[in-house]
Amino acid sequence: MPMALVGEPPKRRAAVPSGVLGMLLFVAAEVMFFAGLISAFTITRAGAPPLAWSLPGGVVLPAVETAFNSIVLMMSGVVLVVAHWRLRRGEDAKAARALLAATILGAAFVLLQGREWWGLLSRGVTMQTSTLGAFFYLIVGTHALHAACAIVGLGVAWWRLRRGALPAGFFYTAETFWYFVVAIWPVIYFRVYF
Amino acid sequence: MVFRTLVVALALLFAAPASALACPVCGLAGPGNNGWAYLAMTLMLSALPVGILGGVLFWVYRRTKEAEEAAEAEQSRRASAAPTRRQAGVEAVR
Repeated sequence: MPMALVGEPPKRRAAVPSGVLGMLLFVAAEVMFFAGLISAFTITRAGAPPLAWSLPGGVVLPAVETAFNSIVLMMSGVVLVVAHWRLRRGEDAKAARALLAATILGAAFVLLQGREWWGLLSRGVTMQTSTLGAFFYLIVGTHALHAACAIVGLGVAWWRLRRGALPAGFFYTAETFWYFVVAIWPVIYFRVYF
Repeated sequence: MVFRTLVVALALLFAAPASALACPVCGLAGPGNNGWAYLAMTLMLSALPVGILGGVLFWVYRRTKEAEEAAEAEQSRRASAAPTRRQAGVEAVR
């Protein structure tokens, strides 16, 4: 005789949203990807003959301008934390404003980086001209690609929040990816630019 | 048997190269002073996956524990809020 089910099974609250867990695993893989790039950069740089590790024509990487861009990116991360807390308190309108601000700051970072790239390219620095140039465009470009994807995620989250249809899991997932983009940048900046 | 094994082991130990690299890739270091780079990057790439996965697993463990505690607290709150049979009977008699 089959056993009858008595009542409904107790509802279980998810300890970690599936999207966040998936994103964490993806971020772990991405960290290893960037670690591989930085490792190759470090070893190649350490083995390069003196004076060979430079850009052609005496061009130097724009470290000062990029410091400003880095501050913009960090501010974006801080504003996203504010959006998180506003959302948890149920202040959707304020959360949407903070989320939009974080997205705009992130987009500004990518655009400012693009402006610096344009300056370097116009001075003849390409991936083919030097090893440093190749590594620079590869590592910084890969980060910019990640930043652009994360900005799209944040933008979609903002749009859905405005329409009142933002699942918490989606926001946390996009947020996790953006924190990764923000957190890995200082490592790249201090390793590549100096 | 043990003595012979010991002698062979000692012979191998003395016949071994004077220096051996514990780091498997440090031998690739060129004439420049980049041995430290190989060593540092090997350490970093070895420690990172362990650290990341350990961190994620620890965080998931903590979240799960918190969720279980919250569920238990909710269950006990409901149990204390619901009237017992005896209390319900008393209410019915009144």
